Amino acid sequence: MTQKRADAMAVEGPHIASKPGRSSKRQSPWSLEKLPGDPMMWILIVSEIFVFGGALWAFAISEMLHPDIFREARAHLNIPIATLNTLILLTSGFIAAIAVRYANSGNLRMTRLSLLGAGILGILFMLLKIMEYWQKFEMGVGLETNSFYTLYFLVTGFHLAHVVFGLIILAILAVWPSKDNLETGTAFWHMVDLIWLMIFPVFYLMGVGL
Amino acid sequence: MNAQPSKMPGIKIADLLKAWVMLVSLTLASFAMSYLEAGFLAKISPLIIAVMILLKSRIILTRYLGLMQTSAWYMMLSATIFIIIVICAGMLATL
Amino acid sequence: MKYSSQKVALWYFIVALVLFAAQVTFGLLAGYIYVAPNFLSELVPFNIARMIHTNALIVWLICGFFGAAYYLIPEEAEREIHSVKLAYIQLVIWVVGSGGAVISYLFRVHEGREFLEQPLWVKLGIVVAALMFLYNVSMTVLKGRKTTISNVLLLGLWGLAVFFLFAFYNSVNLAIDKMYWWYVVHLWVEGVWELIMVSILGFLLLKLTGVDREVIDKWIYAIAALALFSGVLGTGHHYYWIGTPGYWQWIGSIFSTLEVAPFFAMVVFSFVMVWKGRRDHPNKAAILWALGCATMAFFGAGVWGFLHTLSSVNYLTHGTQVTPAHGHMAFFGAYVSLNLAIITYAMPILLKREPYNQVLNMISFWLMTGGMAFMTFVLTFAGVVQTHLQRVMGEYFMDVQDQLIFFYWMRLGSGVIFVIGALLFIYAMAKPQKELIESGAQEVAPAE
Repeated sequence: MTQKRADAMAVEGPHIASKPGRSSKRQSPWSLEKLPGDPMMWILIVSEIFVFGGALWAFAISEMLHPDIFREARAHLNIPIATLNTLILLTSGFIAAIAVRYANSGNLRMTRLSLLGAGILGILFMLLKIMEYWQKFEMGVGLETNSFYTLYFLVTGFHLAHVVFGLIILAILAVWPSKDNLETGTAFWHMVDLIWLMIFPVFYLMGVGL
Repeated sequence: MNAQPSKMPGIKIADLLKAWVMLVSLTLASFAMSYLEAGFLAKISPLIIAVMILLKSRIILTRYLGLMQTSAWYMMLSATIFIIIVICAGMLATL
Repeated sequence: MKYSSQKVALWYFIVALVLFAAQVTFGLLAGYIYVAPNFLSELVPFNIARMIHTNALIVWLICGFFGAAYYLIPEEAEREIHSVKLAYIQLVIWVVGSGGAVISYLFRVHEGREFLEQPLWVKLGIVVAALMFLYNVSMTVLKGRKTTISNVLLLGLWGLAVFFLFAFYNSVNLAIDKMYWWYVVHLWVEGVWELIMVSILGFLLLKLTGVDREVIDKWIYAIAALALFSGVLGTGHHYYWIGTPGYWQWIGSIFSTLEVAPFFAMVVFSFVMVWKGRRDHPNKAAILWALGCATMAFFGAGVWGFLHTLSSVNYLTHGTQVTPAHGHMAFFGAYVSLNLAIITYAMPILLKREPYNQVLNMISFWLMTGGMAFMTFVLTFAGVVQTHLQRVMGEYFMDVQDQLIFFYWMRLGSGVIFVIGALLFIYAMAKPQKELIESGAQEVAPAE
């Protein structure tokens, strides 16, 4: 049917289509091929950055609309714990990056050990975060208290859910530590890191001294 | 794509460590910035923190996520993160 | 047609087109009732006309999806359909069910939940037909070659069937009722149907442009991932004002804003594939419909959806004519055009009629697309005026409706154009073409 007319031809860029004689293997700079790990992970990373970015904008706009509510609420944030948590997550990411190097050199024992280290720090982050929530609950503050706390619990809660999911991924990596798995799985963990780097300043650091 | 050699550039562990030290110092510096109470510096501290986030995200993107050979993605991601944060900073700095 | 069992698809497409004709006819009737409210008020009151208009739409679209699956699954799996007989029995159930629903509505027999008005026996028939269908296509795929196109299509079709089960749960609590109601309505059109859409679009582009399958596969996966990522929590944009907690306003606003992404990706996907592809396929009308589908879906679902998806905007526009503006173009772009694209591509092959003259088909594309675009603009303006008068100035609903009559007349006009386009499409599909066009031998690789 369609094959009768013209067979499928290899796809080349339009710059080649105009010069049929030449053939080169130029890839698009946006090709997913050269990215480490599974390409779908990068679709996820970009989507996550947009989602959290949107939430942070929503947060900043709300702060402009209700400065009094936000000023009052910000006074109750535990900044030292959040900073400590940032350091913990960054260190965990560092150890996860080391795990990839060990996996590349074929050292399975050290790969698993590094993943364990990254995971333990992840759990520590989780515990400190829960402690932080606990302080808020003890103040009688919840998800529906006001727009500050709704966004605070939603954004940090979504992030915490990613930490939990990341821990599961780290565990899976420890069981099946192939090179490809590690690149993909640790990319997720670094993404969790990256997202926290965006949340941390907007929620905890900006607007405090003002 | 499975049988190919790793697409991660061969970053030495010493470089990873350097990256980690940078990240930690930037975090502590931004933490300190937030305690500025008054003065011009305090007014623009969100913007300075935003620049620090740009630096931190670039370190993570190159060193940890291995985006050294894919400049388009690297530029796009770090620019996106910076735009998000700097707009937040702008909104929060003018309060 | 490589496999004789693909012929089943022909009958599904025919039923789909008949229901399409019914759908637009009742749409026209409903549009006329807007300007002449007492027209047929005893025989077919507005709520019944609207019910048939919306239900026939869903039923014909799904019928088209069934047909598309029966057409493309054999080619993808490289084998005959598991049971042709079952496929025909399924079609009979489908026809009896949809016909039964329409007749029930005309006699005022319905369950009264918007879009899910079908009497219980029709709902059960839908489930039985869907199960027969899923068994049939799944068996075909399981025994044959597994491709990205068929995998994503099956995922979408299974999702379609699974989420329909929420139609059977009808809580007495209105908030809970609505919450689950959206599991069907939203998770269909802004979730699993998008998977169906991207796989059928991928199949069409594969056949029409000759681009490598690996390239198509990557796009399909990426778009499917984007659709589910944004669409599932995007359900939150229906949970603003139905009694669900306030945090849904944030979740819904943020995730549903991202729902533009898969539709935008589909535009890039289809245009890049057509641009890169060097196969000079004679079925230009199918390419037109495929490109039109992606474009109109992006504007209708993406842009017009974003227009009123933020909770602070929706607070004012909710339930105004902005909603049908979005609804009409989104459904036309995403799913009507998709079905018409696959029908345009497959029908001539099923009827062994190619190459053939498609001028009529292409004219029908422009009539329908133009009519729908005009209708969308008109309803958008009507919605904005309505929002201002009713929500900002606080005027009464019916007083505002009187002031919108001019827009409703123009909407009726664009509806007439659309119906002419739809009938022309059906005529173009049904009538054997005498005039042949030459398959393109002139230039394989067009110069810049």
